[in-house]
Amino acid sequence: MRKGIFLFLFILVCSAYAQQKKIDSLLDLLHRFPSRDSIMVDRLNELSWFYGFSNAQDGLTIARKSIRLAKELKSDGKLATAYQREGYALKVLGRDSLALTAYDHSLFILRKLVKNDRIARALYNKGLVYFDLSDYSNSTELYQKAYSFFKKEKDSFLMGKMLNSIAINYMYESQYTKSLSNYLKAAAIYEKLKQTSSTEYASILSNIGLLYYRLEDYKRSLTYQKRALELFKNIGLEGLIANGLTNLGNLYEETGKPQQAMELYLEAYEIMEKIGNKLGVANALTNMGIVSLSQSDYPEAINYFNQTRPIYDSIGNSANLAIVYEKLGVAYLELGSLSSERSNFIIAQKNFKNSLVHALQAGTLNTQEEVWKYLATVNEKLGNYKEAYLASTKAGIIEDSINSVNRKAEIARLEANYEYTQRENLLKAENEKKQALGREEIKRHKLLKNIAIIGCSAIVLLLFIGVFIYTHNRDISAQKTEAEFQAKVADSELKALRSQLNPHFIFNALNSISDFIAHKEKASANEYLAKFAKIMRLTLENSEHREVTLKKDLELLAMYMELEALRLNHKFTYSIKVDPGIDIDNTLIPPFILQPIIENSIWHGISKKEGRGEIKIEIRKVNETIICSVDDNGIGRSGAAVFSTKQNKEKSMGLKITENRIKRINDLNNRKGGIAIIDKEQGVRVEVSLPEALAF
Amino acid sequence: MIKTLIIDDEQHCIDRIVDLLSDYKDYSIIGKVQTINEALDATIKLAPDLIFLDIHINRDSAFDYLRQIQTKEFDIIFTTAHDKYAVQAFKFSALDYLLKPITEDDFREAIFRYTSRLTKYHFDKRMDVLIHNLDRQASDIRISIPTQEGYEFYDVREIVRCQADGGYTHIIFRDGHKLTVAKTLKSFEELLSIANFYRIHNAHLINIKYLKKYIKGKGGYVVMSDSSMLEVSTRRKDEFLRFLG
Repeated sequence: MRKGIFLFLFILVCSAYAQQKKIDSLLDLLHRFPSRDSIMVDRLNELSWFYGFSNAQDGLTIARKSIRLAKELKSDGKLATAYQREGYALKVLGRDSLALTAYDHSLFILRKLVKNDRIARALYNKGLVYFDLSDYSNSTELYQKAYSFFKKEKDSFLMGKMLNSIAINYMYESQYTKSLSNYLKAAAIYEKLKQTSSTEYASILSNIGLLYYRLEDYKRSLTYQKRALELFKNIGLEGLIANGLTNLGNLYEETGKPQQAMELYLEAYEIMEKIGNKLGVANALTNMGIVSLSQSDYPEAINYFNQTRPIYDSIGNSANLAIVYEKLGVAYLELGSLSSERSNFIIAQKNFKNSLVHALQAGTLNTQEEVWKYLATVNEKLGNYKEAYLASTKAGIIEDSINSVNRKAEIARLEANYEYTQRENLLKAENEKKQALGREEIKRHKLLKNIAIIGCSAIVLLLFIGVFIYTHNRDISAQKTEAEFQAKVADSELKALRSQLNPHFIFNALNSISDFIAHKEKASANEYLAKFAKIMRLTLENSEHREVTLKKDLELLAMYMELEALRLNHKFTYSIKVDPGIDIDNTLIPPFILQPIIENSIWHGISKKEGRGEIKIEIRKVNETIICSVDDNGIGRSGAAVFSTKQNKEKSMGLKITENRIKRINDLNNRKGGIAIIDKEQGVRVEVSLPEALAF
Repeated sequence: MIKTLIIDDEQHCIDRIVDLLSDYKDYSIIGKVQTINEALDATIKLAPDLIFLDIHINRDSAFDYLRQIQTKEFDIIFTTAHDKYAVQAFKFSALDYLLKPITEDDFREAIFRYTSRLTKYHFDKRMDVLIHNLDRQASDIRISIPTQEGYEFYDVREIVRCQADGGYTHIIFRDGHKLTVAKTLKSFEELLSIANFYRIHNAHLINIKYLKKYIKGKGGYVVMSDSSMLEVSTRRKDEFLRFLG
């Protein structure tokens, strides 16, 4: 059975602390000076803000009061703030779509007022709502917008916060490397600002703990979570303490300490209840239910789940609702197996079906797969073998699609592990450095001043090196993404070029077939058509790839020339010769790059020649360069010019495509390929040179 | 005489096969049918030796026909116009197929393979592999591997890796046993890449499922779950890491 499922990341909404004292004094002020002016709006806004942490329902009421008053006073700036307070309270209460609307109202006003910093905050808060809705891509986009606004305002504190939030989204999308680099950037900012006892810094620690949890490194995860929880307790924000407790609880459960997990969940529950965080309450109860379930205390588990079901229902959190229904089903299934009472199985079945409805809505594959499996079991117990079979088939199908997703995550995990180890080593080194510095300080009191100066300059130097390495690495990664993007663009252009199968070839083929039909040569028409189809199929297949093996390409070229010879009544013969020093299975070339050149030879050189022609294809290797030559004994370029000039245009078209392709390939791979046309006494020789590329 | 049945919903495709087959004396066409129901009847009544079977018959799939047919006392050469998915399935089960429009050369080769009885062994089992694979996703497919004695059948999930040895390929399984096959690694690469295998080196094709570690280096190394350590080709490194990421 899967264990702890609810992991919560802390995104800190502000640096202010919820102090009951502050609320009391504000309430007092409001009672004593019940004016209807802008000061009043400010106070209401502030009050709503503080309530947001501890009592969202009151926060909402106050925010709405503030909205009315601000509208009355026609104070746009304050109205925008009031909307934001409303949005925040709504979000805490789990009313996400209303929260989005509130933020949109606020953003609309702020954009009119051109308040960069406030726009950024509103964008960020809206991103948080999307996060709650598990829409990570929209969320990340908003965070990134907010980040650029904060950057404009040179607010590095909030920039750090954005980076943290972006990292969280990446983590949820299993993009651990990206996630990591964002956490590190964020952490670096706070370290630079000397904010290492702030909630922000603590939350990054906790998040790194969560990353370790995902990486299944529970020991490290525990260390980080404990450190984070301690910091949260020092700071005294209840919501955060509760989240910290939940995270620790999950860890204990995962490591087989259900009793300790239960205690922490209970503590978290009490806090969430106190501050009126519905989602938090429900999560804590669900977690307790899951522990009970794993302890085989089914009635207790059912009791917990029955409490949380209506809460998720009212919030509209389908993902968690699906899990609750699933767990209810499991509890009844187990009860049924113990007592072999049919009614339990029927209740279980009903719950699983409900779960499925919600899981489909939420798009949570894991739950769907598990539920189908359970449905198979429960149907088997009920004797519905057909349904059982269908359910297990469904489970299989979903499992496969999860597997591919999981494997990706698994690999990301592997990869990230390396980077973490490195990061860990770095931290260790830094620690040692710090200790060394401590010793240095003691010495400084005792020893001469100039030694201290040397020590200082050493530190400065180290710092410089550190900063240099840091920025250097950052720049390199930025350059790398830029380069990757460019490569992508060039690649798609190449793909387009490759799939431009020379129209001549297609229409000539069609004409030939029509010719055969006109002459009632059924067998030839059939054969020609079949071969043409085969070439088309292979061409399309090859054009999917940037490069194919020389062997494959030469096979296709041979087929192509054979077909053309057939069309022209064997007006030419052809040969293909490959330098024995070339491994045709391991050498890569761009697919069909010689085709337009051969076509030129046939069309302009051979077809107008009297008597038979010959085309020789030769592949040679000179140093590290592969030279592919197409040699014909046709009428040559000067001869071709005598004929119509119309066709010259088309001729250059074929060569142009080839030239373009070579150019793109050069750009893409930093290579030096080229094309040379040599006029012979009789006929033309075209040489395409490509730097040798090996598959392995 | 080899009794041949042609199942295809399009008359011109039937005509083409009749045409191509007219060059071969030992074959007599005992039936040409255009629906699944007719095909089922004809198979029982006429007891054909060889069937040319189109994989799309009207709205039905030829596989529905195969599922319903009881005896498999015949050979099949599948025909299809453009169905990547089906071709993939044939390759995995080592069953013969022809792409339409059919060229004379391809037809001749198929007939040759049939007469030399290369297709004869374990026809039932290869059919089972085909039918198994049709219902599954890529990670849960089976594969028919031709050996000297005939064929062996495996779940691709059992394969840890494949190693090239000249024109031969050694296949190493999860339980540690090894099978050597007279096919190139390239042919396995083409087949298994849909089942999450990756060619890390000229000589190595690995099942990503059993990849345990990647050790950095010029090209680097991978460590597999059977603790074999394999080199990653320098040229492959970047693409491999991208593939993993």
